[in-house]
Amino acid sequence: MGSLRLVDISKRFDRVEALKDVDLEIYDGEYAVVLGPTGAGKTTLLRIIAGLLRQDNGEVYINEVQVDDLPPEERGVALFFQNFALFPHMTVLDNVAFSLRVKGLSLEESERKAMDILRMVHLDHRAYSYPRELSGGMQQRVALARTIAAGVDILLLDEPLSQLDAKIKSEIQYELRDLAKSLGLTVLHVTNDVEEALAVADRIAILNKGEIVQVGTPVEIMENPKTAFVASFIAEMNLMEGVVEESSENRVVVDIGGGFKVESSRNGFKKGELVIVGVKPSSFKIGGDGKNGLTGKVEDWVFSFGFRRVTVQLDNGSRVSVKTERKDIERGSSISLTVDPRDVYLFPYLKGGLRTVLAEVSGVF
Amino acid sequence: MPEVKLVNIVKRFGNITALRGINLTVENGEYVCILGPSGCGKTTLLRIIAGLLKPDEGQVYIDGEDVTHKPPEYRGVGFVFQSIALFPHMNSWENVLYGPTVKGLDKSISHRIAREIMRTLKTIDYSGLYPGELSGGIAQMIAIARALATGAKLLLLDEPLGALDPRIRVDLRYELRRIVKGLGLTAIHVTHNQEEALTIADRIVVMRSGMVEAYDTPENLYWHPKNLFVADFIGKVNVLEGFIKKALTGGKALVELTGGISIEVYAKGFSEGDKVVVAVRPENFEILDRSEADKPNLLRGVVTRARFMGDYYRYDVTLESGERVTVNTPLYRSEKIQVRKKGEPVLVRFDPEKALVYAYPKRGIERELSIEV
Ligand SMILES: Nc1ncnc2c1ncn2[C@@H]1O[C@H](COP(=O)(O)OP(=O)(O)O)[C@@H](O)[C@H]1O
Ligand SMILES: Nc1ncnc2c1ncn2[C@@H]1O[C@H](COP(=O)(O)OP(=O)(O)O)[C@@H](O)[C@H]1O
Ligand SMILES: [Mg+2]
Ligand SMILES: [Mg+2]
Repeated sequence: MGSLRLVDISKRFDRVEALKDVDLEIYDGEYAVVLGPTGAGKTTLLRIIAGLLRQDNGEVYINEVQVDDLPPEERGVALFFQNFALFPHMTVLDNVAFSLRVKGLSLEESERKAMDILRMVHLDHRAYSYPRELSGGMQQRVALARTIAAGVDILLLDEPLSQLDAKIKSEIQYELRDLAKSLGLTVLHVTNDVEEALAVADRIAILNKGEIVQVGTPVEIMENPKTAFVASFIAEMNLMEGVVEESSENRVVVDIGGGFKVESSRNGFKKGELVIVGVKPSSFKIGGDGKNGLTGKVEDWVFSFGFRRVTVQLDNGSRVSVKTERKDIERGSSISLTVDPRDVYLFPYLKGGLRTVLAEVSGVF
Repeated sequence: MPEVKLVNIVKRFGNITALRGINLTVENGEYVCILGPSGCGKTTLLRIIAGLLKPDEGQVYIDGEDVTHKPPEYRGVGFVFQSIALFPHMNSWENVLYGPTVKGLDKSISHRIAREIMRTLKTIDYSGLYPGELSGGIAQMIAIARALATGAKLLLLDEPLGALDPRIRVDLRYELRRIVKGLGLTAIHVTHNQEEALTIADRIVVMRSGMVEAYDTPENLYWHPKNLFVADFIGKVNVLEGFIKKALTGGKALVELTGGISIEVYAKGFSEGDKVVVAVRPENFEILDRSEADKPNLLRGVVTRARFMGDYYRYDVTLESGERVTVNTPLYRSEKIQVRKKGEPVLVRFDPEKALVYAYPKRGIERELSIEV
């Protein structure tokens, strides 16, 4: 059994409000991810749940019992630290078996169980190596095995895959989810990596500057990001500023400057209002005579896994990227784009406009 | 303008041979990525180009001049590391100004250079901030500005985006390429991230264990990798085993897979009976209903894992042969795609031109794909 409920959690460090009124519920057996950029407050949140840090405000419930006055070891959670440390003088097997020994299992029993867990993280062949003989990624898998060996129902994982090479990570992440599911664990996993979140999560909560800004299943979040920040954080999204020119049921026309108008099938924006328009690189069609025609010049293109990502300097001065399987796009050539109104996102305008959104996402521009 | 040529570079550390005879030419104005698993010798190679390390054998030429025994200052290179190495007690402006100043340039010239570079890199607004006050992305841009302010036309970047958040890494790689192309620089950029290399480089050097496995454009490496290691290292491939059953016309051949199914592929230079592997990338597989069984190159299987990944669905399918393959179905190819569920019986299909065929590796598939030689 393992459910987790956070009510109104706030935490301040001197000048930084690390967490602001965080409410979050994680169900028994659920794999939940808190996703947000570095500095969002993810580690702080896990430390509060684990009992290593006291919140200024709010309550933590584990299995519907308030645990705020319980010490870490009595909360029934295991925390995988972002900056984990293995015991350097113990073998990989002993590092993992240690948690089991502490719980009172016999030497033989704990080694057998430790070996089972090492097999799950593909490290059984290195059971008798010492940590220093392993790569950073392997050490991280040992630390993960050790967390699982704690044998509790709730795992708190702080960026558990960050040290792995891209290629290994893209395999292990799915296995981590399968493993948690097969053991019936409840997991709260925090990361700054969207792909990792999508690979493992039942539900994702997006954390930005200490606040949870959206919670939903991967499909809900990816298909309906609520703000320009979320949209741009979870995927490459072309964002442009504009003014609503017409607004009716399921049809909003936005003037994005330079004579360009784009139509969106979204609702809820008023005539004259400033908005942020979002279009995914894969939503643009090159050529054709669909709606929302835009023209520009091809500035550059790069190749990725079987497609090209084309940078287009639009004739209204903004720059967009376009994903295409076409191979006949030349640098410097003129290009016309269209986009289906159903694929045009609209987001509320923010003080400071697009610059603020982009600065929040990437800290650049 | 810098062109870099490496001739038979060898470097040993005690009994480790970190580089085993590297030959490589980077053209003037080119953006080249060095891609390989950790420990394959990428940093060592970059340090040798920079002059921070001497090779045991071989020569380094920059613009046709043998600089093997010349110090780093002489080579006109700017170096950027993964760990952001700004001077902590200097603000951004002073960090950038450092290079032109120690070169002994006139104060007004130094200031002009620093200002121009910082404007180009859109970092001028951060001039007064100290490294501790900057986000990782900005700090790395300042480090690049500092490297460029020395007047370097050759930029050497060692995992420059490695320490940044994944989302920032994506934005910055396009920005980096834009800067390098805009200023007409030559760049050599080390990374272990496949997607980063593909989307930033004009050409990619694939390294393994101190050797160059391949050197080609991203598109060629992706579509025509010269061996199974390169095919798998540049993104993943699903490997199916079989043998050549019959040569067909037009460069095609019929391959009988382990499961007994015959498929059509393009394969040249093989004889009937040759053992081969057929490699297909996850995004080059298509998933069909069992009812669409009239097309060629169909494999029957059952979905064993299904994940929504934003831009695509990722399925693991266990084939009737027992082999497990990964299939990525992009969401942009059609507006409404049918989502498959775990346990669903399906057919997996691929176009013959999207399959890569190699002779069965003598030392077995696992050894062939291993990052050690
Ligand atoms: N012990 C501390 N003292 C002061 N500030 C802290 C401390 N721990 C975290 N912070 C600040 O709180 C914010 C959230 O930090 P953290 O929870 O580590 O974020 P994340 O894990 O999402 O990167 C950051 O601005 C960080 O600098
Ligand atoms: N200064 C050194 N002393 C001893 N061995 C080294 C030194 N620098 C690198 N090596 C070894 O050389 C090999 C290549 O290292 P490196 O160039 O850092 O690889 P990469 O950058 O691809 O990860 C590794 O086996 C590494 O351990
Ligand atoms: Mg953290
Ligand atoms: Mg290195």
